[in-house]
Amino acid sequence: MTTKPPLLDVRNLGVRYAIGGLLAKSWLRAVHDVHFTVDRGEIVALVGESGSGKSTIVRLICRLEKPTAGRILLDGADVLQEEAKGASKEYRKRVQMIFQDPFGSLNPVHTVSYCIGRPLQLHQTSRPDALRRRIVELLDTVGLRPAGDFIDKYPHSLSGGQRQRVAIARALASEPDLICADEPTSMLDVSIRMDVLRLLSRLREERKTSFIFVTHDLAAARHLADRILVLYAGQLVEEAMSDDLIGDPRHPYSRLLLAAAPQQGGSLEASLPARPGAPKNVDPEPGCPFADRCLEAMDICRKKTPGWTLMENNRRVRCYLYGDTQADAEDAGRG
Amino acid sequence: MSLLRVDDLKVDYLAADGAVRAVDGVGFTLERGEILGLVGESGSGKSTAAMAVMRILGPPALISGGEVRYEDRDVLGMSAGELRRWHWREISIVMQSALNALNPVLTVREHFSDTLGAHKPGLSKPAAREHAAGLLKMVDIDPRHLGSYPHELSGGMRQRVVIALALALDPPLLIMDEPTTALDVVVEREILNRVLQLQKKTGFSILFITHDLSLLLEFATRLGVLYAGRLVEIGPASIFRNGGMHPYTQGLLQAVPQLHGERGAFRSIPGSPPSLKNPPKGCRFHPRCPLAEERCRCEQPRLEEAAPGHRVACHLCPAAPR
Repeated sequence: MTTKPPLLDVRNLGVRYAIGGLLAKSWLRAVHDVHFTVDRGEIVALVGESGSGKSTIVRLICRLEKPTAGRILLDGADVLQEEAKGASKEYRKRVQMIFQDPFGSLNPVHTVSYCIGRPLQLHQTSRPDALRRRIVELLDTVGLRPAGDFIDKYPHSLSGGQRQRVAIARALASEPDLICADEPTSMLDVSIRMDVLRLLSRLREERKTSFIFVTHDLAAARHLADRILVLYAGQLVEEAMSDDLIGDPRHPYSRLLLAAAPQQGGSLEASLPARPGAPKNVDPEPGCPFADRCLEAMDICRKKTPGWTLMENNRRVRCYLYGDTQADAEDAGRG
Repeated sequence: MSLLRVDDLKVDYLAADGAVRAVDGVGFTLERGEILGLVGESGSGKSTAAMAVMRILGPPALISGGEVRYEDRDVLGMSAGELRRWHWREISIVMQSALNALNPVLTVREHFSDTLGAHKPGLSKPAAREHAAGLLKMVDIDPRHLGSYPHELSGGMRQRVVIALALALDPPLLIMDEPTTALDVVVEREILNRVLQLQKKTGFSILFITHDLSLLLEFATRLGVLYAGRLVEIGPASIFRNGGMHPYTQGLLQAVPQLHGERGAFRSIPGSPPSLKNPPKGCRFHPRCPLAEERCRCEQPRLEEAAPGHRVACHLCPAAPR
């Protein structure tokens, strides 16, 4: 039996932007040396603070931007190499995106049926009767029932939650294998956020669609995702099964994120397990990006980027507290 | 006497196709040294209520009824001059967007000297500068940033500057309107932690407006829950830590994903918040309420005492024996 490659395999992905003028050119390292996989029917959460690169990673995977380093393999095929000029129609059909802001992601001059109909026309069918039937089915799938009430509406007459459902239906239209959802609930009211998460969970069950769920909310990530990846300053610092990560975070930054999340019985007066500070993405120095804020930082942390330490239950941590089992990841990436 | 007393406050937004009542009969008191949290979803009227209390709402908003008392003074009857003396010295506000609250062409120092100059005209320049440096230190910002412009500071630092400005004249009452919603959880916690320390030290009262109920539970003394312009429940924080009594409060508490307990339990409140243009009759929550009865559909419940200090507006909640 041959093992099938994972649906998505991201290797050493990186992107940097030149900032500043000719004389004082700097590099902003938005994403650096990121690698992870997503299996069929799996939900993986990317968690981190703003500026950690989580949105950039999904934009790279959806090929809205070009990475400056690394490879993206879809079903084992190196898509950046094979489709060097830009994503093929087939890639767009298979990988879709849901954006954070449902007020900005739907064109205000088009009706719901147009929003959902366009990807159907491009990727599925253009016969008018079949098109209409599919649009109704999709609206029904995302819980906008009866579909007739919504199909001819414009985005401005829908609530935030309804708009986000239209955006989800649009992403589903091409029957993708992978959907990247970039903070799909952060702009929605608290009382309806869970509805949208439940919908994504149900789509995974029914259609075996894979999701990359970008969020800053660890609790939401735990409920929806099978695995959680923690990002800091554009780099992955820890990966673990959701319950393992929440129950026992290992990387000092994961511990900080967990300590900062509001929770029942918590108190704002408790102090946080880190020094205040911000990630340094511009002309970064060698070493662990979190070292300046880490209460347990050692000399080596500021000299050399830690490699991955592999642990039980498919957990991996990039921190010297857990040994230094691999060579400097940066060097390994170049090899 | 309460520091602040709001009774039956009504605020309308006037529009071409009729007025929308954003705040409908909201009342609460705020004692000295207390942190009262007002929680609600977008459109619940929480920010409008706070701004009406402070009298900083402009057209098309109109305070169309009710009473606001600060100590023994009638706020709604204050003249422009009285308001100017009242603002900042006795009541100040921290708004959500620090970038908009700060003037982009003024340095941090100029923001402080403007405020201190307007409200403490006797203060000498060096004394004002020293005072400003002390205020910045108080919120963990290096005084060298006095010369910085807002765009040179991070979002968290800007919000710290705004908080320091709000506290510049030691007001007894600070209104915080979603002060950390735009910030990351770690920064949010660092800032609020500092605000709490200052509050403990100097004893000012805080009216804290947010949509984040789980955050409020960690530090508020009392909480009020707003739904579609009306207060549906208000009481000591302990009541809310135990789940609350109003069905909306209960739903809201359960709708927040938890870090512990059963995984994949997606509890939510069905439907979405109503439009204020055409609010449901009776109890405004009834179309989404799992317990709604006939009476809830036609008769508006009044906020009644369920226990001393705990009031609930629900036909189905047992009232305290009289």
